[in-house]
Amino acid sequence: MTRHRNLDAALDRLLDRLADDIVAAPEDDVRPALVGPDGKRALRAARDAIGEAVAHGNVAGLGLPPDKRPMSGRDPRARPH
Amino acid sequence: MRTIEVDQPEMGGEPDRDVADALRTLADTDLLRLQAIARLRARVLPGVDWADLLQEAVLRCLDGSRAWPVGVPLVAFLAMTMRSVADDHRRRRRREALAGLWAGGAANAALTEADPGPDPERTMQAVQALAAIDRLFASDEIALLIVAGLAEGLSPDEIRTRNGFSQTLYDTARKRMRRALMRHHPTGGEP
Repeated sequence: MTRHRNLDAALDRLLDRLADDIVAAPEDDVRPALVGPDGKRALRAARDAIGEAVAHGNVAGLGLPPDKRPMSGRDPRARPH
Repeated sequence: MRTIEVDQPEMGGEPDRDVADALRTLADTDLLRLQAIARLRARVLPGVDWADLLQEAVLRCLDGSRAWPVGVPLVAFLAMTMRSVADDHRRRRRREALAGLWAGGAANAALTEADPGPDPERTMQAVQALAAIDRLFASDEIALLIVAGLAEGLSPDEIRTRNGFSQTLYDTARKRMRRALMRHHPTGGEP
């Protein structure tokens, strides 16, 4: 196995474990992140990001050729920017 | 909303109304979990913003590209989808980089069928990505040892045994790590 593959595998393992930790984190470990101006900004940014995606989900999706998206028949040019 | 270039995912079913409904009612803490995961994964994707990654994952779930398995919490489902989007993006970047060097369609074959051999640029990217994660815990020596163990694929018990950590010391450090990941706000605190 080449070095970059070893490193890639290590990176993947680490990211997976940390992401799993965040998913399973007790509420007590998450709530402090909501406190204060930074917490409010972070929450608003997360809410906005998801809200925008949900709104745009009714037209063509991101990153894929429009004709290959499962939601065919919609004009991707209509997607708001 | 910016575009993330990704590979074509597997085709799924109809747009998922359940996902849309569930997204609208996510708890604040779950929104922050998703943001934290997106930020973590985006750290190792040069040029990709956490919001782009999260939004692409949401879209895949909404349009049926990814089916929401029964019994899996939405946050876990979106976390898995973000991993998939990130993997697709990295694969595409590599293929494009190879395609720039190789004529014709040999690049795809090289990536999928053969070991392309040592790749200094890719090695450097992985080193930088691991260093970026280390910086998150730079002031916490115990956390860094745990990070090293996690990267090696060690179990919690193996990490504790190797480093001589008590269960309490280990659990406390993991709690600090979780809080550090959650605290990592988009404005300020960027290491």
